[in-house]
Amino acid sequence: MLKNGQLLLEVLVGILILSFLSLIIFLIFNFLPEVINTIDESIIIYNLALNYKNILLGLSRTNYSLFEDLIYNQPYYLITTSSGYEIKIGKEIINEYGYYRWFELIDDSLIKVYLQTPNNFYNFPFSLVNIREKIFVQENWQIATTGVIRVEEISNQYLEKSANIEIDGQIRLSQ
Amino acid sequence: MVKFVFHNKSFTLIELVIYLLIMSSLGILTMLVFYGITFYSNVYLDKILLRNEMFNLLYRLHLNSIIATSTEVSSSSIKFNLNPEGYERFFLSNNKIYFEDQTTSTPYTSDRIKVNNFEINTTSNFYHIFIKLSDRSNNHSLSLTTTLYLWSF
Repeated sequence: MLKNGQLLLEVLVGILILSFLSLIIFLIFNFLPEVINTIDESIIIYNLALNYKNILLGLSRTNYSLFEDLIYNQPYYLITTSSGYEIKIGKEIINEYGYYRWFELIDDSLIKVYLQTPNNFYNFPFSLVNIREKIFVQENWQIATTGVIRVEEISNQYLEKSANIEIDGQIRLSQ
Repeated sequence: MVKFVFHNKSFTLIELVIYLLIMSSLGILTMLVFYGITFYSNVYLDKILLRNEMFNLLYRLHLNSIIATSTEVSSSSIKFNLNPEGYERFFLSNNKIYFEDQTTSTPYTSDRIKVNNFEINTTSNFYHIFIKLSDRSNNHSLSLTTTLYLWSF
């Protein structure tokens, strides 16, 4: 005959093993699919934000006056036209994924792209500067000792300049 | 004469059946755990592979769109002309995206994935590239359209 204590111990060990296995199964079939969905979501979100960033930088380079009429902290989205893109008030619904996408002008040059998924909310801030000039002038910035970089509006475009770099169609260090 | 003795300490049939039932349940649960881990590990590795390949591709395309002086585009290839006289061309062939420059032409995507689509459309200075990647067994796929702005002067 089993003693009561021994029986209780066996039942407890059994419950522990079953609980442990049940917990593992629950985690595997609930937690892992979410992790896997996050992998897909991350690259899609990255691409959607990058697309808006490229389009807005492109628009700012070709037609900066489009941004001069925008109101701060107002949601805007982009629609495709035959010649490019148009800025509209509101939020874009991406039916394929069930996401919302929009952007807001925070100040004269700072823009935030927002993405709302069913589970998460993302924002991607970036500056309306000419990144091409920024990349090409980077070496010169390192060479330049002043290190003071300011943003100036020239001919309706934003160009970044350091104190001894001239940008007049071509980028060169001034003597 | 041998005397027949009854032992009261052995298992009864019911105890044996209960024991077998419990052990079977534990076995099934354990199998389920191993199946789940194996299944999701494979899915995870496939997805991570697709994501990394896609990220590498996007990164290279976007970087080139910034530094290129001009581009030449067809429906399934894009060539970035780089300063001073180099170029980088990406094109679809045999379910792979190839990278070509002045000296070499090599597959840019891994052997472990297939490129189902690499289609390019243009609107003004904006380039829309539809990319669809899948694993070799076509169990998982990843597709998106990326938009580039050509920063050429």
